[in-house]
Amino acid sequence: MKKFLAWFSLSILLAFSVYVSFVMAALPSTYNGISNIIVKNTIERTGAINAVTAIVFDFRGYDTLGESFVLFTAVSGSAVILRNYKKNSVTPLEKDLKNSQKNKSNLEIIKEIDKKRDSIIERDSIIVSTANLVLPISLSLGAYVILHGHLSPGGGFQGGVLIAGAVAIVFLAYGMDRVSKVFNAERIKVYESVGALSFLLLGTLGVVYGYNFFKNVIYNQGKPGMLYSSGTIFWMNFAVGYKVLAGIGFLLITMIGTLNAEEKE
Amino acid sequence: MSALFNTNFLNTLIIIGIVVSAIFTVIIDDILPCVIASSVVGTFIALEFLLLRAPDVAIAEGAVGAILTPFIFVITLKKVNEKEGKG
Repeated sequence: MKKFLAWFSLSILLAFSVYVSFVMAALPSTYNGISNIIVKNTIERTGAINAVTAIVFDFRGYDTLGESFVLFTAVSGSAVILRNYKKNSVTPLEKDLKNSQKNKSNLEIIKEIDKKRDSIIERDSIIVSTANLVLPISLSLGAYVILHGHLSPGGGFQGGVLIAGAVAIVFLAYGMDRVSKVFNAERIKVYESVGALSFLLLGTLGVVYGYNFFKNVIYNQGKPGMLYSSGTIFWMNFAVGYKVLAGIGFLLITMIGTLNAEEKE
Repeated sequence: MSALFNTNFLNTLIIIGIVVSAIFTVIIDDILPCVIASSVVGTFIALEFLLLRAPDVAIAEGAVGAILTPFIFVITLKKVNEKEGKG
């Protein structure tokens, strides 16, 4: 009976999808609709060469706002769960060192942990040298994508994710202790809030000038195609890129930080 | 020979790659190979976006689907294995 039901529903789904694909093929072209207006007026209205970024940050600013706050909520939720875990745990190496040398400063303890790790685990020289090569390339590519969001493909989100990938590279090459010591997770969480707040304030700039929310008010500064042009789109790229790189970097750092930790008794 | 360098041929190859690696993602029993197969799906989808002239979506999909998601899966898997090994 169960098998019959499964095949029955599958066949109905198949017939429906065939029908839908035929109907979709007969749909009229949408080129004459709103998309035509947007594509034609992009440079005139916003000063951005890249139409996708113009749509994301100008014509459809609310969508981007909602998207970025989805990411913000996801990162905050995982931070709440993982921080509770982290508060109740210590890494075994830290426990040893804290018991043996109570009068040393934090920096000395970090150096001690590094020394101990070096003796315990031998690093793969292929991975380390590849990471040393790839890390600056990926960082500068991400910075380029954020900076040229209104000129070339990409934008704040893409560049932010590319930069946040640096955390993964550092983890692969140098291990988890180095990651949780190099990056300060608490401060990065603050940076994410700063990015989100500046994005909101840039959106409010339209209201300040007497137009609607997310109105691009300073778009006529600079020629289209120059690096500083397209008004608020340029700055919103920065804000969103900063927010995304801080958010995803924070997510990765907290997840990596739980790896080596033991639960406290 | 010129058919090999056609965009349509590459398109077909990529779509077949998406379907095959997606099927592998479902049918493999071990979890780690599953995660790697899903990363292959992400890579193929990023290539497909590039062919469909959406390079910005290709960047996002390549970074998120091929790197970040498998990375998070692998970390979680490592943590779960650690706990199971202890208990």
